[in-house]
Amino acid sequence: MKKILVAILSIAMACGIGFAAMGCSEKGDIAKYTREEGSGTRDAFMELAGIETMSDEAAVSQGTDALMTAVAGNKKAIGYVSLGSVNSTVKKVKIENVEATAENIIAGTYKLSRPFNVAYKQATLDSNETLQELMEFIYSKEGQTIVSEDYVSETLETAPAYTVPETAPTASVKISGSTSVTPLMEKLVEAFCEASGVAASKIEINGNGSGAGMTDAASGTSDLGMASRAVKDSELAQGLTAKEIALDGIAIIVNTANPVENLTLANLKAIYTDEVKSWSDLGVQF
Amino acid sequence: MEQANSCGAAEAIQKKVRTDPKELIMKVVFVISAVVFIAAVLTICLFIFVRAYPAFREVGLFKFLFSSVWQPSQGKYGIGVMIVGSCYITAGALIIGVPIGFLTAVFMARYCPKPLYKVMKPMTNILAGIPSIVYGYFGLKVIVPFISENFGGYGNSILAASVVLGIMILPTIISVSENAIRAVPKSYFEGAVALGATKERAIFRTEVPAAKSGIMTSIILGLGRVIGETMAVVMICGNQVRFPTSVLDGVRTLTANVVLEMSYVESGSVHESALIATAAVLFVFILIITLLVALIRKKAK
Repeated sequence: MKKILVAILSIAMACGIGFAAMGCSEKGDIAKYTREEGSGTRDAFMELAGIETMSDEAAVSQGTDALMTAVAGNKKAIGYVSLGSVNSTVKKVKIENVEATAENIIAGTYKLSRPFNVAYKQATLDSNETLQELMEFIYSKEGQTIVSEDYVSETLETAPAYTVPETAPTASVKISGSTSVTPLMEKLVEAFCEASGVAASKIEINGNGSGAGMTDAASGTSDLGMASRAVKDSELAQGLTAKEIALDGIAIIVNTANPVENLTLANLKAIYTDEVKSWSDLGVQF
Repeated sequence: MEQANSCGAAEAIQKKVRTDPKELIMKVVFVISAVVFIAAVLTICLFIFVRAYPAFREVGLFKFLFSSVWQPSQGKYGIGVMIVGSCYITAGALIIGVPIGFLTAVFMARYCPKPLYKVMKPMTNILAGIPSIVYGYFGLKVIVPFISENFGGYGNSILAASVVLGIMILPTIISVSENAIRAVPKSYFEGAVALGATKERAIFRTEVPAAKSGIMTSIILGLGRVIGETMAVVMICGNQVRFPTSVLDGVRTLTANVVLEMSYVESGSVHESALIATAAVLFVFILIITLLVALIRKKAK
């Protein structure tokens, strides 16, 4: 009895290893990483690259950091993250021979760019002085300067200077939404609290994804929702007012050991829809 | 005289039991604790199944369980892939964790020199206390790159998840199995040796079979931990929704499915209900495992 069991197990394992060898040759060597469904970055990337259905071979990473860590650890990996989040552990790739920089995004030559939006209910804004003050700060010179450090500000030149209120408002503000906008919002809020004298504990930021942020703002769970994509009509129909606070590029990232320098939008689409499965098909030799 | 005395003492004790108000208070406290506990369990069960019901109704139980298409944006909810994924990763973790854990337990119970034991015992306890997110990060930073470099593929794979979870269940398997082996009466070992068995034979042919139920319990407890593990798995298993063809492929587990998408759902939508239904399926899995433990315990008695 036991011997039979052992035999069955070893056969199963042998099959597994056999399959593994076969599987590799069929699947090519591009390890593509994507974000979870509902992520604003994913929605924006798919729209901009013209991908209708994401390949189900793409590994799903939960959040920007997990995705970057995964790409940094795999020589054959490719992934996409917000331009502002890219760090030196991974390598940015040019798209259509255009580098992902602020100038190119403003000029419109870098194709993978998207707006960062915030959305609120007018009634919430009217009744919450801290929120009004925060919005004023975001669109001020000071606020847009912070935006332009990592992201792209279209209104930096014309933005008015921030006027500090005589007494700091005391209402508390809850902000939720896109994990891509969260780092920017955290910086803005920190500077805002310093400039206006609002206690930092009054403002709470929760990164739970663009979709959830819009739902929260519409339902009143939070006062301000963040979205790293255009706000959908169905969301505006729930009584939300949307405003753009910044432009962001989506950077295509690969491992630092990957020699690839440039990809086209068509390449990206082919990679993420399984039409191209090997780096060698793109002329990339390791 | 003596008898009368002891009789008097017994009576006094009985009287004290009956009348002491402290006892009464404590009794109430115990009852309340038990009620709170039972209420918590029932509330969770009720919550899960009530919230999961809309998805079962909308999608159909059979289709929900066996369909392999999970596309919430298109209204397709099938967790077949996740059930298979959870089973694969659980099996993989047991293949890696059980032999190592069991043999370590035997070593610690019967072979380990005292000074080494004093180091190993706290080490297993530390391993048990490491938060799962730390295991996940370790997997993502060390195991995943190692696999993609040496075996090819994504690295985020059934293999990676199995290795990490196999390590995670070691403390459970080691400590429960060790206790079971230690609980075997010394006479089993002595008897076997007296009959001419070597130490190894005595341990593996008499003591281990005698401790079988404890060892099985340890394996099933480990299994329960693997199947319910979330944070470590979601970071390293790849999360693809399609049937894997090799151990180097990624797969999505039931737990990963819930945690990946829970923050994006609209409250009250079918999507949310489908995620809770995923949790309900997991709950039934765990229930079956718990029943298995109870069954093994009963049989052993």
